[in-house]
Amino acid sequence: MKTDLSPRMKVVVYGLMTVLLIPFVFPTWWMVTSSIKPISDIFAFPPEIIPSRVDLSTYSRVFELQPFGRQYWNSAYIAALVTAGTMLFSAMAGYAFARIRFPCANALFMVVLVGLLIPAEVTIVPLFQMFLGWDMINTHWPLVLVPVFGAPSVFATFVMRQFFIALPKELEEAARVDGLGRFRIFWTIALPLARPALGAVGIFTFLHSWNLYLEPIVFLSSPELFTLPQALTQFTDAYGGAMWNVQLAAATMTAVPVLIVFVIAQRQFVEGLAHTGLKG
Amino acid sequence: MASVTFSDVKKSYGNVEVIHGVDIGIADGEFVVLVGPSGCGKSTLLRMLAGLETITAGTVEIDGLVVNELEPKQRDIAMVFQNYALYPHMTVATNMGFSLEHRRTPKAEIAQRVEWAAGILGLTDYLDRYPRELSGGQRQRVAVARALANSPDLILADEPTASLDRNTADRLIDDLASLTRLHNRTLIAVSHDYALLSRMDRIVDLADGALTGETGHG
Repeated sequence: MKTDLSPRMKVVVYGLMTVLLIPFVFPTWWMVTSSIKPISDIFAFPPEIIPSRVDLSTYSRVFELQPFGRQYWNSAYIAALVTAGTMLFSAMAGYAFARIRFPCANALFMVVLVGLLIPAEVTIVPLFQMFLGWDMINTHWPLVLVPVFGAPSVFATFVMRQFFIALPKELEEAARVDGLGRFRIFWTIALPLARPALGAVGIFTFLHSWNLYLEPIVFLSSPELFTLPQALTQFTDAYGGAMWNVQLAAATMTAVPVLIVFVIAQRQFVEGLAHTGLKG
Repeated sequence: MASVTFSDVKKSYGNVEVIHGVDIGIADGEFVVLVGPSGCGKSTLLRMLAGLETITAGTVEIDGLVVNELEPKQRDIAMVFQNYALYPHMTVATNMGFSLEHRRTPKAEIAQRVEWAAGILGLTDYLDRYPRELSGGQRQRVAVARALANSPDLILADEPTASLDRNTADRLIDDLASLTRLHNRTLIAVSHDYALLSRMDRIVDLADGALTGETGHG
């Protein structure tokens, strides 16, 4: 939609948007600039918006104080596995709920949706007991299995179901006439067409897994197994005080993949959510 | 070519019967259209023949073989859908050869058949395009070409001209008529289009899920 605004209105609108931008941009700006400031400058008054002194050694100290490279890899491969697994299983489940008629399908979908209503904090203790019984505590298995097969994938299943419901039925009928069975229809017709929805699911699953904090602190105890959000809390001095500049350097490095993913895929994310009838 | 026989075919959705025992015989190479008011069951009959709807009672035969329980892929048919039903993520050529590819037809043969069908329907210049890059008439011609490339004995068409303007519809009707005659296909269509009706061998009238009459053009 194209709207013609008078010059005065343009000034007002852009001014207002700039003011609204501050609460979103400022924390990121403060994180990045504080990561290259000596610690005393972070608390200087009046605050230094643009650093007067630059200290890049904070970035190398991140790797000296923690096995940060290893932790980065842990977060990356767990997020990749969770994202791939969730995309695959939520697409299959969403397709089944949208397209396959089976007894009590709607009732079963309601049961699945109830998973959205249960906070992770409620299930974390039983999950801990369960994984303890399977001898999987202090391994990465719970961080992969819970999001892919548990409540976090319910929203993804919902998004995929909404997309597949809107897919023209005639395409599947044409595919049936062309000789395809149910799985081939899903794999060669429905799934390629679901790219916008899959993109949205991929992005929010990646972000969710990358930012996961509660589960890692419950299931993991060895620093070399830690994921990034958990590792960020470990940058403390001998007295337990936070090493703010080092911590913010680690936080900056942690935020980079998230920003890259979002910048690359934001259009698909918005399109995908538009298909579900949800607003982001 | 293929003959088709509907014998006392009934269809119910729950307790509601929508097709009440229809008997129709269609000979090899015939060009037949099913007509009738909306909701009279003509599309349902076509879809039952295609295997896209289950048959509640009676039998449907293709070339003497009862196909009630057969999957669409086992019936040696092709179908032209009202809304084209072209796969949006595939090019025209891939759309046309998709079924053949799935049936593990050699690539050279697929290319040959796609070229042949595209040539007949004037689509040779559009083979690398995606459906979104074509007009409505071109898309419908691709849908017909897709049906033809598979070389089935029986082609079904559900309102093939409904989304087309008059000129495009006339051209498509010419194509369909010559295809069935020249290439010996049996064609069964559902249509409201009088131009299409006038080119058919036979018109089968339906109302309220029952046969009400037949007109032959001979």
